[in-house]
Amino acid sequence: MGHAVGIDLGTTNTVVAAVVDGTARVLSDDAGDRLIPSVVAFPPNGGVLVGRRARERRRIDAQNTIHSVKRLIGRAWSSEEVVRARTYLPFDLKEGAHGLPLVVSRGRTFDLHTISAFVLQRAKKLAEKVLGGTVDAAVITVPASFNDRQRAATKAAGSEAGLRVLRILNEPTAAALAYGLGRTSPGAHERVAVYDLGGGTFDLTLLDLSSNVFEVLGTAGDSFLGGDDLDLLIVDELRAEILKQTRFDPRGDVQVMERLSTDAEQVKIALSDREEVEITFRDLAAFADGHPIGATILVRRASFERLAAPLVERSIEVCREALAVAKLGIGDFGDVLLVGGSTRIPLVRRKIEQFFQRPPRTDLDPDEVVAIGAAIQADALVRHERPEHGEPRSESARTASGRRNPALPSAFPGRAQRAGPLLVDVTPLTLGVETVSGFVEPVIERNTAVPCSQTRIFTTAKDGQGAITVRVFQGEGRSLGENVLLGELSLDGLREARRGEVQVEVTFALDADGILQVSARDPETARAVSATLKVGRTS
Amino acid sequence: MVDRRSSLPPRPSQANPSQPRPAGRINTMPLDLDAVDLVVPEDHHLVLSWAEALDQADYLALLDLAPPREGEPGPNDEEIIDAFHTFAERFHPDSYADAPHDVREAALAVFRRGAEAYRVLRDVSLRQRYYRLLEAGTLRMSPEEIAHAEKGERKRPDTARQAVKTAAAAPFAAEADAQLAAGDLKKARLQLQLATMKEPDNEDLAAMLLDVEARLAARS
Repeated sequence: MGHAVGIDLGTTNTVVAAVVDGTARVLSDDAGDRLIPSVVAFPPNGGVLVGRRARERRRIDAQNTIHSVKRLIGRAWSSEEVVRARTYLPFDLKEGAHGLPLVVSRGRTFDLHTISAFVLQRAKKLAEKVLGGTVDAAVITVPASFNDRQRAATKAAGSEAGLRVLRILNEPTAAALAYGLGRTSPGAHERVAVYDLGGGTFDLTLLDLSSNVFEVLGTAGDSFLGGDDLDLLIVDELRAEILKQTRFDPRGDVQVMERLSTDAEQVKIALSDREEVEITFRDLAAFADGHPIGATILVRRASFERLAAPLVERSIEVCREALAVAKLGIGDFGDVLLVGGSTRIPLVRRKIEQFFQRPPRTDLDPDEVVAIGAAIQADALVRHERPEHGEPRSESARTASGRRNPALPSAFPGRAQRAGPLLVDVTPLTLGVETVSGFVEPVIERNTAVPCSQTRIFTTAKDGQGAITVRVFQGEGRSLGENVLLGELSLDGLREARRGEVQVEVTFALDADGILQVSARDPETARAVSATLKVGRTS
Repeated sequence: MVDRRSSLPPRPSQANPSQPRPAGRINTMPLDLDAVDLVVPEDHHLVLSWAEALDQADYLALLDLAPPREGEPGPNDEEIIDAFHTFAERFHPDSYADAPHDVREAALAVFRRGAEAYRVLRDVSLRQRYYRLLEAGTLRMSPEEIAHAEKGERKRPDTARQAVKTAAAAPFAAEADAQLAAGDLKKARLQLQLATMKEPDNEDLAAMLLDVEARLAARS
């Protein structure tokens, strides 16, 4: 059996970590780099480049250099995210089967999960080189707010990369694992908030940690808020300044805009340590007389903060919402953990401190903390598969005192001793079905522990209705438009009868990865269908 | 006495009064059969019997919680969380990754029911509703009942700011949200009262105010 690793498959960068000799550490390549850019390039020679070398090609061949696919994976062609992304991504997308977007490069098309699989393969190879053996299993992390389709697509990417996906783990939970929190005395509880400002998304997650169990209390997020959006603010600033200095408008040139984009990220990073950054552009383009166009621009931290403040404020709004949904106050929490490179920005830290009334924990690198947690979980899961490496089960079963019902077993099974804490996750979004009146009827409520299942009875709405279609939605709104259509499932061959007389049992089952299985059953005929859900074209 | 007739395994503590449980080395050769018999299959057997008895278990019994009695309120929030965590350690499918298929499926079935139990018990109003059902002899709250109860709550906005409809009430609502987030219930109550004066017919605001008053009363 090969090694198992933890992989933080990010919008901008991917990080791989493993437990070596009992310690979780991030693995770095020959050049000492720990971050693998989540970028895949298709150069003219027909090959595939991944990582740093692919990212370099953004500056020269933007059309065939694919990045930020995490923003799109598992989303429908018609979704707001994809529609928006098409306006600013320099590479081509087109609609493929089942209404899913495809990447187009040099006349070839790729599924989004195939692009992610290239990145995961790179991570796998890096780990194999460092660990000196096969790597065949992984825990891959996703934002807590990822829906079912996004998780399933991420899992597919893992399989395509030749990895057995042990678990799709939520990023904030991984962060808490990395901090080793929850290792308190038995019975004691610790509550933490994880502020995760990634490349593409923002999430706030509230966790209850006891010595052996991590429970997610609630989560809220904004899928249009991330480090990339902060870069775009700087791009806009640079673009305006270039126009002012040279009368050349970079917006007309995809390639120049990509250069601004990659430089903007560097400027943002530098501004976390310095008050101002000067950047010089040469050969942006040529004037009519053949002279090269260039500009030197000074960006001040204060002006960046002024631009960034509304975005950061939005993240604080999400924090407020998460606390309200979980019915908790700021005083109910201990540590605030930071995840994502953008949490290095001084403005972000100040706002967090103001809101939570305490400084956030910064002792672990916010770029690495998720991968480390994933590695710890991967290690715990494979240990459990190989009990000869595990610790003995020692605790005897606690017996229920004064059990009232003689039909119940007289004892409980023992509590397993495990290498890491047990994670009890929740579903971040309510799952429901469309009703005749055009509303969404919840079947599994937001923040329910997984795995779980729920069966609801639905009746026919028309006389003589021979088939029933179950349309599955995910989201918090009451009306259809506010929710994401996950797919639909039809059961036919129903007895022809008056409306309301025929009943169909619809069962939703969520597994520990948060992936949904829907089945419908006609109790009269025992006919049943269970879904491979298709993502709808339009909602 | 242990009831052999029910084909349920004895309580581990009775089978092995003082001996520590041996290491769970299930992958070793048959020479080690004793260890195999004593530990893992016993737990597996218990998991299977719990799955079989699932429809006889009420939510409290499943989570190993004492039922409310005359004059006692029943378990509090912390006790329910602790009980669920212990339950999760016993039945979460992650603990049975190495178990035979039927045991894995049984653990999954028990865990799912436990998640349902926790969903109901950790919510104060659902919990009270469930106690009434339990008195009438109903062990499980139907999904329709849970959803119905939740639908009532679902319509309620999460923040006062979302609840108000007029500009006049908005600043008070925003301040109420800030105070709630800061944990100052008294100040939040005042702001909610002011917002309610601006929108006397707003049921959502009224409900929030009632909720804050209930939390204040619970504190004193």
